[in-house]
Amino acid sequence: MWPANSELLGLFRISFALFNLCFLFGFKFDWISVYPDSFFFPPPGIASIWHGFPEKWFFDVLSIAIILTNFSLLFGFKTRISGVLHTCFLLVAFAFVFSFGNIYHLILWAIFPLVMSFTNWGNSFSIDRLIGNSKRPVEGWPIALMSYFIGFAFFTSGIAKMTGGWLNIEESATYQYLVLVTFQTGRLGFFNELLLDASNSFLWELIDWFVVWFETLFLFAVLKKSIFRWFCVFGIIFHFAILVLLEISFSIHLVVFLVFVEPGQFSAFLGSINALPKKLSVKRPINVWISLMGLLILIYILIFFRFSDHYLVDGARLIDWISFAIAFILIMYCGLNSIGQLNQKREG
Amino acid sequence: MALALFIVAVTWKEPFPAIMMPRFTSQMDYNGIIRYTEPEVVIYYKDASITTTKHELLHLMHLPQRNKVMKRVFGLEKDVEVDQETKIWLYYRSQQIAQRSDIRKMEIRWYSFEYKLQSDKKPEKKDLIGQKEIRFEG
Repeated sequence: MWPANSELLGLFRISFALFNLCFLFGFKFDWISVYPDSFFFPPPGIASIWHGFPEKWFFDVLSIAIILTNFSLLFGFKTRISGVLHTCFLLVAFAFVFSFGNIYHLILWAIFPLVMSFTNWGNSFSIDRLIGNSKRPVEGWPIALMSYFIGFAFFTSGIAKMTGGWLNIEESATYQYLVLVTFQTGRLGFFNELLLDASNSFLWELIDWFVVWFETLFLFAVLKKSIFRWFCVFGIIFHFAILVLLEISFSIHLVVFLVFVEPGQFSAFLGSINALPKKLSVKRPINVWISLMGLLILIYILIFFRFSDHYLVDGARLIDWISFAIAFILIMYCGLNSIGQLNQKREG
Repeated sequence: MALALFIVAVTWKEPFPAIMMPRFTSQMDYNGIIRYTEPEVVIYYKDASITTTKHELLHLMHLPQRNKVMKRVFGLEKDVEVDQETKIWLYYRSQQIAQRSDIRKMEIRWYSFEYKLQSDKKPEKKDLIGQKEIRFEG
C-alpha cells in the first residue's frame, strides 16, 4: 500500500489546483462552439448524446464550473465533492474537445482529482480543516489505484504500438512520426531538422523498441513501489525528450506523478528549500509553498495576458519548461539524497 | 523477452511478434519513402485568389484535430457535397482570412507528398491527387 501523509496530500492538492490555473489559462472551451456541426464526430460517450456542438453559453457555464471547483480544491472547501465534480466537468468538456475525431491522453489528469478525493486530501491546509469538516482519516489505496491507472494507460499505449507494427525492424515508426509531425502537423521542435538527417536505422529501431517495451512493462512495474518510481522517473525523462523533439506536451501529467515521490524524500526536499532562505525566516514547508503559490500565480497572470488564445497547448509553452525544470530538480534531489542515505548506511 | 522477440524477428521476419497484426501503415518505409497527403486551401475572390493552409482555416482547433477534420469533411474519400451550414462558416472564415467580402469559391486541393530520408529536409515530390470545390455564389 502507498503511504498517505495528510500534510503532503494537502500540498499535492494545492499543487494540482495551482498547476491547472497556470496550465489551462482559464479553462476556455468556447472556441468549440464556433465550428459547424459537420465537424462534429464524437467518440462513444457523453458528447454522442448531442447531434452537434453546443452553444457558447454551454461552454461558458462549463468553464465557470471547472474554475469554481478548481478554486474549491485549491482552498480545500468541500474538497471531496469538489474533486468528484471537477473530474465530471472536465470529462464533459473533453468529450467535446475530442468530438472533432481526435482523442488525447488527458484522461489520467482528468480522473486524478476524483481518485485523490478518496485519500481525503482536504484534511490539511484547507478550509475544511478550519471549519472542522475533515473527520475522515487519510487513505493510501487511491494512490495505489492511481498507479494502476497510470500503468494501464502506458500499457495500452505500448500494446497498440506493438500490434501496430512498431517492432517491425524494416520500418521505423518513430522516424515516420517525426516526418509527419514536421511536415504534416507543422510542429517544429528544436532538433527536427537535425534528426531528419539522422540516418542510423539501428538507433531509430532501438528507440521504437525502447518505447514499446517501456510502455508495455509500465503496468507490471506497479507491483513494486520502488520499480514504479523508477518507471515514473524514466517516464518523465522520456516525455521531456518527446517535448523537445516532437513538441508534444506532457507536463500536464507531471503533477499526477508527484504523488508517487517517496514522502520522506519529499519532506526532505521541502526542508532543504526551507533551509535556503534563512534571512527570510522561512522555516516551515507551508511558508515556502505559499511563496511558490504567489510566484506561480504571478507567472500565470503574465502568461495569461501574453497568450490568451485558448486553453490547451499546441507545442511547448513556458509552463511546460517550468514544470519540467521543477520535476528535474525534484528527481535530482531525490536521487542524490538516496545515494547519500545509502552511503551513510554503508559507513554506519 | 524483448531479446527473444528480436531474434525471432530477425530470423523469420513475418509474423512477428506473435500478436502483431497489421503494419503500422502502408505509408511507412524507413529504407524507402514516407508518403502522406496534405491539403492546400485556395480562396477565389472576384479578381484574385489566395492560397492558405489548413492551419489558418481551422486556426482555433488543435493541430492533430485539423488533420482529422480536413480528411473527414473535405477529404477525397467522401464524395458528398458540403452542407449549407459548413458553407456559411467557410464563407465567413474566408472573409476573415483575406479581409475581403467578394468571395466566389474555395478549392481544397489534395497533394500527395513523398519524403525520402537524407533528401533535402523537404518533401521531394508533390502530386495533385484531387480537389474539392465549394462555391459560394448564389
